[in-house]
Amino acid sequence: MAKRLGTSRAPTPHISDVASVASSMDFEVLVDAYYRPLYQFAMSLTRCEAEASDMTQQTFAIWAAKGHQLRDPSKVKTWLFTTLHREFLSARRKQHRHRHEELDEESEDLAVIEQATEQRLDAASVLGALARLGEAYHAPIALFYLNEHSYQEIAEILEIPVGTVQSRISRGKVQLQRILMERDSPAVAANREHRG
Amino acid sequence: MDRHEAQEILACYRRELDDAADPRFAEAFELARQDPALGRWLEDQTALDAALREQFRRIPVPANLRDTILARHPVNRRATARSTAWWRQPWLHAAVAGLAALAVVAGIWLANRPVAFDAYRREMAGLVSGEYEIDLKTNHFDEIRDFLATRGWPSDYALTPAIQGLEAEGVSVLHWRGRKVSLICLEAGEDEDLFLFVVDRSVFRDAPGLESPQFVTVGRMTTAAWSAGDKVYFLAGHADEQSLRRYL
Repeated sequence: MAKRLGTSRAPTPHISDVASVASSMDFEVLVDAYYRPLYQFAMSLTRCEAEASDMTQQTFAIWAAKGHQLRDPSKVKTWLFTTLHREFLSARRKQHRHRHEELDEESEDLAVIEQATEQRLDAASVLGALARLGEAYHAPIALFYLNEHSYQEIAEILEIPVGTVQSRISRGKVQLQRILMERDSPAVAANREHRG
Repeated sequence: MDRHEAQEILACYRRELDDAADPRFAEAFELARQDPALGRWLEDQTALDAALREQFRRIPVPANLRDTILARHPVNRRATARSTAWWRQPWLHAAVAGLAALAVVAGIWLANRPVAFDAYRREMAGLVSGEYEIDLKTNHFDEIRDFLATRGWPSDYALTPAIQGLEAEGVSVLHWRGRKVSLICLEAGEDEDLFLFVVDRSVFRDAPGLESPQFVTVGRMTTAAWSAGDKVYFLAGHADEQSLRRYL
């Protein structure tokens, strides 16, 4: 029988048991580890500081109430991001602002990247460009650039197949780059409108 | 695969997270090597991705958000571990056995997929920052090594002279994403516990370097990580960095 050893010296489940580890996670450590990327994800979805803060807080509130049900410690991060994304979708539904947009299934060539576009970026302009994307692309693109998750995890968070994640990221990046280039070069936008 | 297909695939590639040797990426990279136009596009794409990633990382986070979250849930700082005694309920033993079986299956799948070290760092620090239990309580390093070896957990590790000078408290065998992790518990002084995790280096695509240890604070834990031979060592404790350095 294993013996107990710990800073709090209180009875605990077995540490090596996969099912028990999530329940032994310290709430403060969890907050420290994930509140920043969760807020940044929320901010990229909402572009509203107050809304993003509320969603991040609500995500941890749900963890505090239900986190002990999670048995696999490797899923904690995915669980938190999934919860936040669901909160976002729920809030959007309540606001009746959820737009259903048909995805452009037409094949698009990836844009030629204008030199130095990357040098003129800042967080606000990137979020502004993200907001102009089709809604289906927001979350996959944000998770892609937040660089916290594998494709399998992004698929779990968004509750869509991995293949769909990859195609939305690929198409979303085409849109995002065009938006950024048009911002940098109004002539490009004018030309596109003229051609359209 | 044509140029357009290769672009779609390469557009999804992230150097820090994705495996370039994955057949899907490898074929597209090979095409980029042969096609100068595609190669230039890939360079531009990589630079833009890096710039965009940096801007996402820079999205400012309200200074008081962390404290606001913690203030809303003061009792939950440790409550998750105390709130239930589910492991005492017999019917859950079967469920745990089922989960363990699932973990074995998942482990086989995960074993072939290198993971990011930062995830390991955060989760291992989180593990010992709260309450925990060990499998074998002993003060003898030899017994710890034998215990791990007989169970097939990493046991051919090399302890620094300073760590060998500490008092051992015990050992646990852990599963993390299908990998075997040895956890050696140490006592560095009165109520000052240190935790040394040992795992095979091949587990990570971005294992800490061999040259010098990485020091990172995770919550209230100070951690140091380094590689030696085919192992990655991860030391965590509540001491400050200077104190932790004494044991490396």
